[in-house]
Amino acid sequence: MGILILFIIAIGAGFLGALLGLGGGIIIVPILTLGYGLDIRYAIAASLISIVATSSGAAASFLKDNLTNLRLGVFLEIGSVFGAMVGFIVSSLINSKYLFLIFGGFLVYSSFNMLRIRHEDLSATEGHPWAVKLNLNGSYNDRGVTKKYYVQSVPLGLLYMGVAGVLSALLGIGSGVFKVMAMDGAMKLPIKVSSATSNFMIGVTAAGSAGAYLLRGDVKPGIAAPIVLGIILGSMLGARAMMRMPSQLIRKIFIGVMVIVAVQMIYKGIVL
Amino acid sequence: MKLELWISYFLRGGIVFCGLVIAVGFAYMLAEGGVSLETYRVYEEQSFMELLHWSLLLQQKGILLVSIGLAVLVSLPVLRVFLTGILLFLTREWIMGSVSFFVFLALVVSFSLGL
Repeated sequence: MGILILFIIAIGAGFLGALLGLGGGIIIVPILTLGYGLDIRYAIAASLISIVATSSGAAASFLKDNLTNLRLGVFLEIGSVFGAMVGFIVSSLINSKYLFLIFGGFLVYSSFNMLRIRHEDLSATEGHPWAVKLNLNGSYNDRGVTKKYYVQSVPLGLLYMGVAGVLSALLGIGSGVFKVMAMDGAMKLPIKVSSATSNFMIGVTAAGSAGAYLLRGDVKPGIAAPIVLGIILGSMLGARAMMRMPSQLIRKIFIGVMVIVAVQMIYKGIVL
Repeated sequence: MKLELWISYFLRGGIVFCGLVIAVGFAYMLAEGGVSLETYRVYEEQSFMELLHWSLLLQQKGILLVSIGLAVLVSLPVLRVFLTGILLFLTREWIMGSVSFFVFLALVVSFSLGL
């Protein structure tokens, strides 16, 4: 019975992860530790595997439907991979308590900002010079309408990705949230493109850690199998749902999840 | 064919393969004596290689299949970066192709750091 419930929860986590461009960590880790009383190391390992499964499961559909900006994703991975390396190196020097509080507060502020800006601004008629040079501008199909977008502030976006990489390595949380925020806020991408491109990227970042956990033996087949199967199914359903959903609804759900992540971060900052 | 379609087919094939192998393996695990999540409440050190070794010795097909499926799943995103680099070079997109291989190398370095 416990396995079946875990499988159903994983479908939900995969669905939400694919829809919003986030990893399943915010759902999987608390469920396994608080709900099932499993060791935190097994929970983190399962959560990393779930991020890889969500990313690959949804990316297949998103790429086919042109929602993922592949070139931009590859380019921005430079920032997130190097950020993760820097975060890993400085992790022993920094007290993460204050980082949790600062960035938890920053997420609350950003979620109010996103709520205030009700509509996407796709009025730009040309992209940043780097976007033109690297062919990063693109178009996507939004419920039957082809919409063209121009990527803004590429260097700032790359810097944000670096910060997102540092934070996710230091805090183990929020990688997808910060990536979507950077693409939506700084680079002015449509929320669907931001979400799909973030989804594409988080799999690469998580694969490194997931591989290390797998080799160490922390990914247990008994826990990982029902989660991966549920996540694959959920992420494919989530990717299909995203095609039909209005952008504003996705934006509202994303803001709700941002607030949950912010509360989790502030809570961790207080109890650490 | 467009670059995005190549990567999409690669990922879809990979994820379907992993899903099927893990599903069959999990069915074996359930048939071979069931799975109890309660056994994972206490942390036990056992590396992936040890797990494979014991599963082979004890003929635990379920654990073996799920482990293979998980290993392929984890390698999919990294292989995808490598494949993207090759495809970009084939389409003469030198800058983005180099960026892909640069990311691939950075990933290899980050693995060695234990990230």
